[in-house]
Amino acid sequence: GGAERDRAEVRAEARPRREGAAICRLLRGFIAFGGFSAEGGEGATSLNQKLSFSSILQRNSMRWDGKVYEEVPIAHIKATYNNTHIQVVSFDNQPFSRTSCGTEGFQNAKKGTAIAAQTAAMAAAVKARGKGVLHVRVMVKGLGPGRKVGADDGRFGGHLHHRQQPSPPQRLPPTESQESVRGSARDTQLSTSVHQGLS
Amino acid sequence: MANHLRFVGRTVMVQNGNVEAAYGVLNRILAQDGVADAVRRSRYYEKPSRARRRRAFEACRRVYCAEMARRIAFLARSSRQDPWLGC
Repeated sequence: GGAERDRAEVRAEARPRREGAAICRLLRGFIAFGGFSAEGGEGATSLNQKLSFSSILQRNSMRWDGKVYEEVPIAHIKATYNNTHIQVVSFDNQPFSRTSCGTEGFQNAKKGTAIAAQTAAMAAAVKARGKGVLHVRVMVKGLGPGRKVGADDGRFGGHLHHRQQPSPPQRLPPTESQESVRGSARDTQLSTSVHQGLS
Repeated sequence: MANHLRFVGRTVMVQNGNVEAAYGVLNRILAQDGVADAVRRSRYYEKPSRARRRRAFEACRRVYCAEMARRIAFLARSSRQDPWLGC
């Protein structure tokens, strides 16, 4: 943990351990973190219902390689329509590996394919694995052919992926749509416990 | 820490290493929330006039589909109590 609790109180009692899509939208709704715009109707909920993210996970006591969630490295996948870039980075932005379809030897149109993305993902995973990265948080940006493939196939190069954060609209202006998308990233949160899936 | 705030509200956890399922969950949420559509639409600019027409069309379509579904469900009722029981 150790994350700043500027939005402190955890309403652990009010919120069931298993968080479904409804909670997801709630969470997205009422937290106005720097850069996130408040969303829709749920944004109007009282300011008292704030959630400290790290507190949830401390309560969950989930660990990956002995690391708390905040310290698991991150794999950024930028899947554009013409290319896919993958960079594995530690939690404090120390780089582990960076690949793209171009570094894997594909050229021009072939870079914008799923196969190229798959190759890039596996290469990035292998390189990061060589530096000791086992578990990864996946942040996916953009809608392109490498989006799903990159997230899945890092596994074959040696990562176990642990959560995915999608950020499809990489160029969507921040205040444009009713989903109130950030300029760079817009995601939905869902922490599913082991026993609960999402229907 | 600021590094982690960007994950709040944006995360799908992967269970048992099952990335495909988690990705499906993610996509479903994005689709339900209309994010995926919005992104696809914003790849090319949509003129305001077209956007207005599209929204009006979608509203009408929603109403129509709901009404049609309601009628079909009404007609398709099969297991219900006999209203004339005892007669």
